[in-house]
Amino acid sequence: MAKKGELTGIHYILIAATTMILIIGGYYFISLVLKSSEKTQLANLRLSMENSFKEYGTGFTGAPGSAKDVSFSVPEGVERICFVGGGERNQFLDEQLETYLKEVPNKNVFFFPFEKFEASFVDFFELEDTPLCIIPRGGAISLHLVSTGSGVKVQAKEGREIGCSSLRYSRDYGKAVDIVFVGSGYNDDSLAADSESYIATFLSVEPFKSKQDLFNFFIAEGDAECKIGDFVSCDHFQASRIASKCPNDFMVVLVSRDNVLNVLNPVRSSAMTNLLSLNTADNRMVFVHEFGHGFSNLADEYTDDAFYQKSGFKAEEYPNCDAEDCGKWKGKLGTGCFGGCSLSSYYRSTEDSIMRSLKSKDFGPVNEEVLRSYLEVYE
Amino acid sequence: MKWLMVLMIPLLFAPAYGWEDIAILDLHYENGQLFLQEALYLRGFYPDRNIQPSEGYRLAVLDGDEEVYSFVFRIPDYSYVDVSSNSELTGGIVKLDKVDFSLTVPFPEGADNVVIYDEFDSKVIETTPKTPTLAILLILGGVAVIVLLAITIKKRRPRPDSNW
Repeated sequence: MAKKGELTGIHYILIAATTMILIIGGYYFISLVLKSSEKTQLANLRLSMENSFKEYGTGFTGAPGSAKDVSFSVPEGVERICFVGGGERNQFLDEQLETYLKEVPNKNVFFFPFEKFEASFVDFFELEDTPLCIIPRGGAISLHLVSTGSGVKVQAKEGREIGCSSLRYSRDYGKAVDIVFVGSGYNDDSLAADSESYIATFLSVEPFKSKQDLFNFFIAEGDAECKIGDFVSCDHFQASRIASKCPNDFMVVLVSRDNVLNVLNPVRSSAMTNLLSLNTADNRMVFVHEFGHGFSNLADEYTDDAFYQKSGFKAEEYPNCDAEDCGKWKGKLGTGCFGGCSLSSYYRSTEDSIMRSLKSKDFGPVNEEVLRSYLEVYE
Repeated sequence: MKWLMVLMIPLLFAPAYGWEDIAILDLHYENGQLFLQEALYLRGFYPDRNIQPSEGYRLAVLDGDEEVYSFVFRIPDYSYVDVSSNSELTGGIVKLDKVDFSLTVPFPEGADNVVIYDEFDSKVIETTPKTPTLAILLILGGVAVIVLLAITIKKRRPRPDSNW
């Protein structure tokens, strides 16, 4: 029997249980206090922004057309802020935001993560293109305000997040071949222009030219940080992480490379499953060539025996190389049987094609038919 | 012919997909073995995979015992490397002994596991991504403390034949 003042087992359990209740209760109490503090900070931010927009935009402090930069402190934990308003809409910027917009249609400023921070309504602002998402830096966001007389036009001074933007959107992304461009080593804003030039080249070639409506093209924000050795080597996981911001059946990483440097040290572009890694100093047609590999399993029609003898290449695994009888395409209009297809010992269907050299502007009847058969899946 | 042996899934029957909860699996293949290096869970898009090989490895996303998504894939143990000089191409296919690659798959609410089977339908990878929340960790930690205390007390209780 326990003596007076001696702690028994039940006492220890009671103490432990009380301690646990205090810990859990304390955790929830602190959470509530923090949440309340976050709410106050968000309300203050909303009020500060609205007052600033109103004062500067309606002529109290800024004449119409005048501009100024302004910063606002944001509560700790806010990962990004998205303003939603008029202006041109980029539907692929953030579909999570799109979903949330439907849930709370009367709000126009959204804070990430949504689960933690409530959205607000702020008056007296408009946007050039919407949504405008900004990543806070140093606990604040910096805005560039242009007075309109009835409010302000809001732009990001820094930290604007692009996420995913569509370059060419033809059809619902579930029913299209979605190609997303990702940059590597870009120090300027030329990725969009480079991507456009690759798209123009791609869509100038049959069968893609007559099937343009089956393709969507996007740009995803982020640097794939590819390595350059003898060939361009991009980390598949890193590229996938960035590309997942957009519909991404195929990822095309454009590795920014100086033309002069490339003449001195030519670097190979590459294709591995749905990841095409392209050296921008290379001929634009290389994109079309690599897509032929990745999309339809077309083999190289040039010969490089040193490479191919090591790879265990077998013509029967590819639609566009064959043994000397060229039985795979025998009788097909516009075809022949020309020596050399990956290995000197195999044969191809045309003298030249995009799978043989980048001088050619077409795939040739056999390759085109194969590509069309794959594209039919999307029709 | 192997190149023709692909499953082309008619779009009519293809599952609707879009911006949703996804998992990106970082995989490593070496000497015939597949390893999971990392799994990242986020919201985003995944490839439609309307064109799949007819045979190869198979990935399945499970909700309990039910497969909510699956597809067949080949290990990308090869890479095409091409270089052009005056539009003439050289290079070719490089067979890789080891390769890092990733797979992006949907991971809908309720899903609790991603499983990969090899060509012989043997399970080679299984991952359980669900992580307990802080509250659950606290409760579990508390229970552990109570159990430890109870064990300690029980050990310290005097035996009936002791002189204490």
